[in-house]
Amino acid sequence: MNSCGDAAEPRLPDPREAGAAAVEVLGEVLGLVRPTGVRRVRIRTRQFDVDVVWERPAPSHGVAVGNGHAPGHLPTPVGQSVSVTAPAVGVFHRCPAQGEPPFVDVGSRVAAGDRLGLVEAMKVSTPVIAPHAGTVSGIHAGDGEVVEYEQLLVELVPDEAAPPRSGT
Amino acid sequence: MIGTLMICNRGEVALRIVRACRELGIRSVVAHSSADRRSLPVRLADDSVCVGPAPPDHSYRNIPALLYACARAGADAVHPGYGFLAEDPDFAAACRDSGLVWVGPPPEHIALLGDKIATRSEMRAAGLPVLPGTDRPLTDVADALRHARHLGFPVALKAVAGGGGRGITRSDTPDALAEAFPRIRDASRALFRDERLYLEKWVEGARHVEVQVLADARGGVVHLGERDCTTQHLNQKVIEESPAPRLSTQHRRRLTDWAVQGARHLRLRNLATFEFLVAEAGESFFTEVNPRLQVEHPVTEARSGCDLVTWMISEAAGADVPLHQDRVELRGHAIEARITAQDPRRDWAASAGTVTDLELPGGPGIRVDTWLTPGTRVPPHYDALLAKVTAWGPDRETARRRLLGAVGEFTCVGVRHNAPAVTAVLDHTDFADGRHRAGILEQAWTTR
Repeated sequence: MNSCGDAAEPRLPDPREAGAAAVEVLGEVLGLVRPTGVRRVRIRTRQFDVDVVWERPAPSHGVAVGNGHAPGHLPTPVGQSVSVTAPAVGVFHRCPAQGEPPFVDVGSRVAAGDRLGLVEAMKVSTPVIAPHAGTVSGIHAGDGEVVEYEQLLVELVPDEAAPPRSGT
Repeated sequence: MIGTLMICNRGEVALRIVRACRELGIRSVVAHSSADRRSLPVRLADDSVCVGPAPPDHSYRNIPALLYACARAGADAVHPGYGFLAEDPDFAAACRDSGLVWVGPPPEHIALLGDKIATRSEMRAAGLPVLPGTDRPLTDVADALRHARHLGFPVALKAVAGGGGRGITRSDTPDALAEAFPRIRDASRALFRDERLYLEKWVEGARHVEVQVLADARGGVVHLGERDCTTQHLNQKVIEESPAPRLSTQHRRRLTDWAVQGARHLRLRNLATFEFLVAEAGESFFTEVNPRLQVEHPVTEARSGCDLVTWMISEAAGADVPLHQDRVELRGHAIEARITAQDPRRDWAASAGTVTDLELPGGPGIRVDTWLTPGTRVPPHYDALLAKVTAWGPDRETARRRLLGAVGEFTCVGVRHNAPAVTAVLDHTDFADGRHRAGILEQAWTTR
C-alpha cells in the first residue's frame, strides 16, 4: 500500500508545466486580449493551466498605500506615497525593449494604468502598472535585476484629487 | 562544495534544513510564498526569496519562479524537502540542467520510482517479493475484473503515478471494482495527470514497515534499520517507530537485506526508503520506494546517531562519505508522533489560525521539530503538520512513556490539533503491547 503520507496536497495542473509551445500559444492569446483590457484569462488543458489577470493588480499584491514600503521590506519613509511591487518573480525591465528609453524615470508624470516596467519570466512579460495618476518618486530595482514576488519596484506620489484606480 | 543552498519548502522541514546548513557552514536561503513571509524558517535562514502568492502551484511548485529565485540568491544547490517538488523529476532535471546540485536521488531514479508498475518490475528483477498484482496498466473495467478474479478479492486499485497514500481504493467485490474504476481513473488523471491504473492484492491487517537506505556515489549501500508506520489516519502516517515491534530478528534481517539488494540493483544514490507490507501471517511484500527525505526521519536519527539531512547534503556535494554497515549501530527505541492541525472532535477537520499560546515539551530523550512560535499564522493552503515529537528510550516502554508525557505537555492555543487522539493511541493496550494494526487510531479514539 503506498500509505506513506508526506504530502497531503493534491497535485493540480499548474502553469510551470507549460512547455515552449504553450508559451507560444500564451503569447498569441495575450496579443489578442491585450487591447481589450480583459481582466482574467484562463487557459486550461491537460498539460497546463494558465491564469492571466490583466491590467488590474490583484488586491493581495501590487499596491500598498501607506508609508511607502512593501511588506517584508525596509521602510523608505516617503509621506503618502504608493508602493508598486513585483507581480511575479522574474527579470525587471525598465524599458519596453533594448535600446529604447525607460517607461518612467524619477519625476515622470503617469496616469492610472500606465506601464512602469515589465517583469519577465520564461518569455512571459507581466506589466508593472501604475495604480494611480501621480509622479514617480523612486525606482527601487535596477534594469535586468531578478526581483522577488511583491518586491518594491516603484514609488509614486499620487495626485491629490485622483481616486485609487479601481476598474480596468 | 556547496556555498549556498536553496530550500524549496516550508514549515518544519525548511527549518530542519536551515539548521543542517548552519552546521555544515553553508549559507541557507528559503524560497517561500507570501503567506510564509514571517515564518520561523524564513527568519532563521541567512536569506530568503519570496517566489509567489500562497497557492502552492504559484509558489512552492512554480519551477520557473524557483529557478529565478536560485539565480537571485546565488544558490548552487537545491534541497526540495518532502512533498511539493521533492519527487518531481522535471524539477530535479531542471535544477541539474541549470548547474544546481540536486540534494536527493537523481531525476532518472525519481522518474522510475514514480512509476509504480516500472518499480514493481525492477524490484522483481532484483529478487524482492513484490505484492501480487498486474504488471501492465489496466485497459478497461473488463480487464480490471479479469485480473481481480485471478488475484482474488479484496484488491487494491491504484494509480500508476500515485503515492503518499493518494489514488488508492479497496474493492471487495466485482461490483465495487466496476464502480471504482472510472472514479479512480478520473481522480488519477486530475491528481497526477496520468490515468493509468493497476491492481494489487489487498493484504488484510498488514503492518506498514519501511527501511531507510543510504547510498553513495561509489555504489556503497547501507541501511539504518526499519520504521513501523502502522498508525495512520486515512493513509496518512501519524505515529512511527523503530525498531518495528514484534518482528523477529530474521524477519527484520530479511526486510533490510531486500532494501539494500533493491538499492544496489537500481544503483541508487543519496537516500531512499523501501516500503513493505507485513501480513498478519508473517509474509512480507515490497510495495514502493520513496526517493527523498521522509517526514519520520528523526526516528532513524534517534537510533542511529546519523544526521540524515547533513549526510544527504554532503553526499550530493560530492564529499567522501564512505558507508560501512558494520559501523552502523542502532540503539534503543524511538517513537515519533505527528501533531497536525486536525481536530479529531470535529471529524478531523483541518484547522487554520493564529497560534496565541505555545508550550513545547522537553525532558530526557525528547526532540521537537516545529515551525510554530507564539504568533505564527497557520495558513490554510498547506500540509497540516504542526510539530513532530520524537521520544527515544533504551527500550520501547520507556520511549512510549516519554512520548506520552511529551504529547501531554504539548500546548498550542489558537489552532486545533490531533494531540488528544495521539494520546489515546499511545495509551491504548494494543499499542502498548505492540500488537496494533491498521485502524488503531480510529479504534483508540472511539473507545477512549
